[in-house]
Amino acid sequence: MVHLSDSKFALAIIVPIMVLELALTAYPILYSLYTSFTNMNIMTFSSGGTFIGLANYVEAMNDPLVIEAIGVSLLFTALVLSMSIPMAIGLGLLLNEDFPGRVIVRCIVLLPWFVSEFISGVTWRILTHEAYGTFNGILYSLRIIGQYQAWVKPDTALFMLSIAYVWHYAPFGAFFVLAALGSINPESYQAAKIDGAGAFRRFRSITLPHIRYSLIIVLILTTMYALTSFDIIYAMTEGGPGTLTQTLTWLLYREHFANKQYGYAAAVSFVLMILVIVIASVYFIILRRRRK
Amino acid sequence: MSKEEKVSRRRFLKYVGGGVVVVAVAGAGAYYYYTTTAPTPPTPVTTTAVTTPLTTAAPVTTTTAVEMKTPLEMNIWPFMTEIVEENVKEFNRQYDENLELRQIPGDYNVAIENKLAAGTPPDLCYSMADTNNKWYKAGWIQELDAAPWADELKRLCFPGLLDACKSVDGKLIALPYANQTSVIYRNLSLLTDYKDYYPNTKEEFLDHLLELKKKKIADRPWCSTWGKLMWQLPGGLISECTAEGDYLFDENLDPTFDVNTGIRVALDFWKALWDNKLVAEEIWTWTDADYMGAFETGQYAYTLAYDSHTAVYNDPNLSKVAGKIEFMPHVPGKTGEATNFAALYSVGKKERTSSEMARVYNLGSFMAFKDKYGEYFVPKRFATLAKFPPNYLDMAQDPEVKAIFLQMMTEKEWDWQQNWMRTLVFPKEWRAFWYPEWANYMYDQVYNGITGKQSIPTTIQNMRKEAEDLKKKYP
Repeated sequence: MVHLSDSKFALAIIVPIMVLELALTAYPILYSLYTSFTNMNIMTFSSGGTFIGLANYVEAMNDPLVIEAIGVSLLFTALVLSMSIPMAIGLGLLLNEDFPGRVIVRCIVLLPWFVSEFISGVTWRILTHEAYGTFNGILYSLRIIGQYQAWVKPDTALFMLSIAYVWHYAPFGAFFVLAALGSINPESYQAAKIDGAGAFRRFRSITLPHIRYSLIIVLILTTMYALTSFDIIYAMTEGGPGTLTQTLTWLLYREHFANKQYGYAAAVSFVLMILVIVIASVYFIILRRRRK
Repeated sequence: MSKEEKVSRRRFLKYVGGGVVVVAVAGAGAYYYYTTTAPTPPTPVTTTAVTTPLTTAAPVTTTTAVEMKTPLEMNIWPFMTEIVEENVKEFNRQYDENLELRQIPGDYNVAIENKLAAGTPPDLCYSMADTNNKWYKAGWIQELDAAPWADELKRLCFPGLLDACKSVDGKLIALPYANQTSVIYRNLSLLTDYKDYYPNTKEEFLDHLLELKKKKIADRPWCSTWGKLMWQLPGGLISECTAEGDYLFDENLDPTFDVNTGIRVALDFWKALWDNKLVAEEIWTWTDADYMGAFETGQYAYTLAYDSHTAVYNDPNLSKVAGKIEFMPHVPGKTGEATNFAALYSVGKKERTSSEMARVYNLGSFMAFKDKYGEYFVPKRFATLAKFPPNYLDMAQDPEVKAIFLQMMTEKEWDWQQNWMRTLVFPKEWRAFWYPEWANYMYDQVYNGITGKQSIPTTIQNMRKEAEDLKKKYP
């Protein structure tokens, strides 16, 4: 009988899955990379287009739409992070408390995460519709507003989009936090109370250190997902009004599927990938420094 | 942890891994067996090709050699699929055929293009006027001039709709499915004092809308969508321009518009709508469902839409304006001409024998034109059941078809509809390979112009330059 060491056994389990993953993703990524160096469009698709080197990347870096889309992507991500992280902490703390019906409440809180991002966008579209939306109906009936309001207008479109995204995404973070909170010994809080520590002091000194690494994971994942988000934009605003919610992901969708510029869209997709890698790298560098 | 616990956990994982391998091998074996086992040969049938025009009383057929009948494939987007399923059954019955219908939900154009690009074209599929020429230039769809019924179809089809079916070089590359003319609907429940008032110019119309707002009859009287899709802001602007006699492009697809043509009037009108808060603030992101739903609430006095929406707006289960709407006889403007947006059928291009092509011609004729017996079976079903306006001159004279439409509109509206069907203008720029790129650019520029980020003349100049540059880039 063959006896494997723990590390070899782990490799034996991981390697087949890695090979499958590489087989399914490596070819599309490499083909997309090649396409980004060509002028491939719908007309030249069958011939593969002509090799044009870095021309697509140069055009992308000089394209005001790409620069604007990078800005919109970063702003959208910042809005999402500024709301979803506190919400994840708050929900986590709330769900960690012991109260009747806690299990049911946990299921209800998780529901927005179970619903797809696209359906979340459609739901929020209906809730906020200027002519017949639920929010307007309720607020008008309660006489809080005198007439129906526009919620997804030029001034507020990106903000409403980020609220819809946070509604969908925050429960995911909350459960990471909840899992980390489960590792805290309750006696620590009791001891802190006896020593006279208030709620904020207990949170800062006991809770936060325990959930810090979970929060960092949530931060990294939320950043990556927000930067590459598409479904909710497609459902709610389609990149509008104007280009106010046109993120890089939406722009490359427009270039590929509407304009049929496959080579240029591939280049924009790698610009997005580089942006995500750079930001993720910054997080990991900060994480490593803090560990040291 | 003890050595025994380590061993038993490892052994457990080994068993699980072994189980997965067994299942995977069994699955692969089953897949191999079912995909390589020779299928039961289909029943040999005789394929008949209808080779003479369908207007003869008894179609003459020739019998080709007996051959195995592989299924024909038709792809559609999900709309009124119960009607299409019955159409398919009737086609299979009339021609003793084997047509398979496949619905493609979601982003239909993207899915069909993937199929076409992958070399698995359907025999017939829905398509749009702006995509057909690209697909044709890419070699993905079939020319249809050689079809035995092509000349008759060209003679009987409304001219503007026939234009939508043609390529840049005049070839028939699509067949009519659903024609939609850009029209303005009026909500008569808000216009009790303006029942017979039809403004002729955009200036008159703007004054009228301002009056409706001032009198608190409608706070935002104009309902539309300025969204990004081809038939939304781009289509709406083209419609407004055409009504001013500005076709934007010539036969060679060179831009003919500038700051002194009708596009200036159209954009000034739209800017006035925005500045005076006569339209919804969310108009830039509204989908078709959004703006149609908004009009159905009864809050809006007018909407720029398509004449195929009549049945929806008149449905009492969906609409608060049911029974209270009316067309305007024209889009206000110097000429009042109307444009159309057509949904079509295309035939995927692949190697076919002459008898296979004959089967596809039968399919195209049945779905888009006339059936085996010379009747407008499918177009008439769509006219009477889905309330699509008739596509053919003689079909529009059918008393049964007219009677169905007179349930939804008055005699004068029917006359208006017939008039604009005969004279409607197909926007030729939709044939341009670069049109989607220009339409996206148009959207961005119009947004900037209307919201005041730049002037309207700058907007028009930018749009013209972009059209010229794109034409040079993609000759």
